[in-house]
Amino acid sequence: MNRKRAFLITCIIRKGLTSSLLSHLANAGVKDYGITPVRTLALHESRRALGLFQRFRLVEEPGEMLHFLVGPDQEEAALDYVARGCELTVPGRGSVYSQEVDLLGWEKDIPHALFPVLEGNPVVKHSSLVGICCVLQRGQANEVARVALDMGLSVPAISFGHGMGIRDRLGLLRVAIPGQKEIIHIAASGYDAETLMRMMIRTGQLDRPGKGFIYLYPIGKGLVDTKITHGAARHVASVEQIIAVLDELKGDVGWRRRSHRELVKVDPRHFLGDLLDLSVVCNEGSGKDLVKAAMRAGAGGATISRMKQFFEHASRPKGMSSAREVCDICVNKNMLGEVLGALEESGLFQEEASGEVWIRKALKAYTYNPDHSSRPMNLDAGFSSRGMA
Amino acid sequence: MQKPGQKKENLKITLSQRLEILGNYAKIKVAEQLKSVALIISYLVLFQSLVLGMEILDAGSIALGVVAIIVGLAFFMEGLVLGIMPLGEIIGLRLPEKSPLMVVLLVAFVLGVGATFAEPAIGILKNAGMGVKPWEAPLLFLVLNKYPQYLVWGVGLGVGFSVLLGMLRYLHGWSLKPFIYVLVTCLLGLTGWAYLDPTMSSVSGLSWDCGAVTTGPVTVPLILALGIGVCRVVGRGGLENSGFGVVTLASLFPVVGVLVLSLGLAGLSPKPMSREEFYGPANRAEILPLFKDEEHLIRYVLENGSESDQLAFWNQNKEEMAAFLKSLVSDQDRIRRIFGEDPAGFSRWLSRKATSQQRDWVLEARAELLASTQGQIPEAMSSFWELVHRNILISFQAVIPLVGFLLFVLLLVLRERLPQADEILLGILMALVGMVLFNIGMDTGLTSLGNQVGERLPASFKSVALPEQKVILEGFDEKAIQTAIDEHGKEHRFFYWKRDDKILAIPLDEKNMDPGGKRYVHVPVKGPILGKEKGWEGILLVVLFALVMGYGATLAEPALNALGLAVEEITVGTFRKRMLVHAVALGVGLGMALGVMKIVLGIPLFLLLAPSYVLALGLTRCSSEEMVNIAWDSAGVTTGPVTVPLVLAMGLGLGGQVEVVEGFGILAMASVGPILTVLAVGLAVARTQRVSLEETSE
Repeated sequence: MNRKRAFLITCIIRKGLTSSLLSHLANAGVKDYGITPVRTLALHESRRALGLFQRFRLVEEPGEMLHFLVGPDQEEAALDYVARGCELTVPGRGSVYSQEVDLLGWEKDIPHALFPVLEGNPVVKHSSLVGICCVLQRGQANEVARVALDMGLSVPAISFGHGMGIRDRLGLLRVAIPGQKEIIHIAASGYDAETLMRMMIRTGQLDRPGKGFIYLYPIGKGLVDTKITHGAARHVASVEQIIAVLDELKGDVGWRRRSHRELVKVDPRHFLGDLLDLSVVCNEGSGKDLVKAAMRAGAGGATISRMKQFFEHASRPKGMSSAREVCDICVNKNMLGEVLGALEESGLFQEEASGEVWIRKALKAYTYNPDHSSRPMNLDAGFSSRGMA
Repeated sequence: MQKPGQKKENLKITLSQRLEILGNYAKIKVAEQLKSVALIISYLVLFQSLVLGMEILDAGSIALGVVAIIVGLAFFMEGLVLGIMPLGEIIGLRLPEKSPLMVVLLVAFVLGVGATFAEPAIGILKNAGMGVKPWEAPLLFLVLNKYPQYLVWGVGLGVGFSVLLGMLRYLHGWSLKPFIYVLVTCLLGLTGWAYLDPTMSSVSGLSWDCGAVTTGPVTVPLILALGIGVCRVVGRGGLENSGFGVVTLASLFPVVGVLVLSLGLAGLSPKPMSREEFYGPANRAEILPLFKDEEHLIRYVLENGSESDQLAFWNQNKEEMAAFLKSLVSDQDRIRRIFGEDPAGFSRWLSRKATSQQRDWVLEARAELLASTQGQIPEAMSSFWELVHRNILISFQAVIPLVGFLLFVLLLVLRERLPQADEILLGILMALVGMVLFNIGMDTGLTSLGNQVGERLPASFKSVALPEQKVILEGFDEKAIQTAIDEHGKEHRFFYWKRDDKILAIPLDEKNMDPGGKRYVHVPVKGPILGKEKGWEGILLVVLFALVMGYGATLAEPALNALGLAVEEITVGTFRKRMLVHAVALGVGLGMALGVMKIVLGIPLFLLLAPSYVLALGLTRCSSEEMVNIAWDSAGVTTGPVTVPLVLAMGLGLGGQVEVVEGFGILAMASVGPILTVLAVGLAVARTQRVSLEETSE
């Protein structure tokens, strides 16, 4: 199978800005992209009721997560174009970042030379960013995602998905265990990411069976939304604006690092390494069968989320639907061949599924692992988590 | 941990582990439904026992019914989520991609028409129409009693056309707003015109109520899921169509359908007249078109007319009436034509409705007829098995044809396989079981409770007789009768009755006195509970009752819960199901309160509908497309199997006591309420979001 290297650009923006982003992308000639609805969280400062109520209230706002692919030479230009076009340098409008991916089953050419090189210094500079993805039972994401806000790191985005794992090996009894998941997406400075991950593990009690799964992945470059509080401003510039300027002056976010100490201790045996994150993108309805095939080949499970794919009319491959599913499967590096073989065998690249695979690195992952636990094996183990291979 | 290459088969787990998983699952699902019905049940029980101060009859069977409702709802909702909604969504996903436009539209149309026939909520309106007085509202009587099948077709075609138009909307990315502006303006215009026309005015309430009840608990989730599926494959970026809006059209077009149908039938209907004119022989030719034939007219007169009405019908000539009844005895064929195919129809009329004189005439003519039938007068109470049988039939009728049609489209038209077939089939089965249990529960539990409260409700503002608590006073002597005078010097007769340790003064009703037999039948009277007769305090109590009942009943509506789930899913939790359901419930409560005021105070429906819809149009103008779709859809889903029987019980109870022409319009008001509340909540949410976005734009 022919592999291609590309950069996946991910923009997470407020819903009111979608049409402006789409028209900017259309001007640049980007016609193939996928959109997933998300909600973003922020803290709202409420100064009422004699302080009897919580001072910071969590507010949810609708947003959209948009993905598109560019060639390696276009990474910076694309990020810069999006960030300037949507004024993402102003905190509170959204984030944009890039990830290096290996593409399998991607028939078309990766777009080159779409984005004009803009004048002046590029606005997207932060390197050393790390992405955090956390899969939890439906209804629990707000509490865990709030950690990123309380730590003052960045604005988290949450999307919906459906988990597959041990649950799907129970036969029809699976209907008795809810499979709906919430997926938290956070991009944070690499200096804070591990602390954040540990705090999220503690808040979400991910060291218990069936609670969830979290992993870190590298981000190439990006601009992260840092507007974590809303409310009346009492200064000429908000703290977020000052941070944004300092980031720009320093050219990096390393100056923000606050502590070397690990705030939360997590048993290191539980971290899993040498991982790859496979995103199997296929027509809606094909995902479950493909994941089952991957599970038979040794994958522990997957989270399936929906994505609406938009194409340039002429370039639409035959059989490819607008309703797509993204099945995220984390596997050990040495199992990649086997899982890909199983996926191909079960028709991933055929017309019905019209699938493709994005392969990305994952830095480290964590979930409850009965092999490493002194607790007795519980039936719930891994029902909702993406059990590791 | 799994080693590479190792195959994973189904997990082997023990029976106790299986039971533990199932037990947890059942506990969660039942607890959810318990929460949703808790308010309405406890409210009705408390209102009946504390406010109205009356005991609850058949408490045991009501309690069992409530349990059946909760378990049934748990099954049904799970069946919707597992089976019916995924099925609708798969078809929505595949249909536009694999079929030409004509097939998509045909499927949509058939689905819409079929849904109306599968879930005959209109039957409920027909029942409500039994109290319509043909002399006051002849056109309404004509539509409901002579041409109910036209009514069902009018509504069905309206719904079919709506689903078709809804699909076209998605495929072309049209906004819902222009449809709403045009339709609502036309409808208000038509209703306004109908309001001024004495013949048409009575049907406007019915037509708006028809719009409200068309979409049942199977149709709504199915149509929603279908729309959501279609919207996932069509449309362009930035457009906000996400699958809602069809239910809106399906609530508006049937109103058009029924109004047009009524216009068409208006020529056949006589003008409204007085009761005397109706029963009198002079207008016989004019009123005959209201009935199928003369036999149906006679049956109506015999069953609904008072003694003097019947006398008027037979030219004030007792002999003529007697001759007619006597002639009936020997003419079995005519009996069948008058009283229907039910062989006991005649004897039931004889034993329940006929006057003693009429009974004597018939007895005289054929003494043995009554003797042979007296022992066999069928009991009104149906047996338990009959109840189960009837509800199984209703549930299968609601689920199987629709699901069967969709499976036919998927397997034979689209030639697709059914993904996750085991799960979907299990879901459909659960929906069926749930619906049977739910319907049985409604019949024995909630409807009975609602009827008890509904019948007694007017006691809060006026005095109401309680015939089931009547006491026969033996040895009644006329000497015991006393006289009281009022401030105008008018005399009123009364007597003292010693009951337990108390001596009560009872106003004398001469009709209840049987001097020959020395008996007096005392029928206790209740009310007014608050204030004086027809005082504002009592009316306020009724209005408040309607508000809380509407709110509580709506929380339990399965179709609304399905809509809430879909909205939460589409908005990734930014518009929570809980928020939507409570906003809608509040709207229904407010709408019902207004609807009850319409009935109690006799306000014309148009004067309530017009300002509400004008306000709704104004809010629609300011709201986002997504919110408009959700809010107007909420209007269509609110009035379902929990709310409608309760509203009818209340409406009939009130309508019977306050002498109104027709009790329609409560449901119509309960539909416009949620539009207003949901749009208002949506605007409030949008405002906070806009403020925070504006903070970031320079």
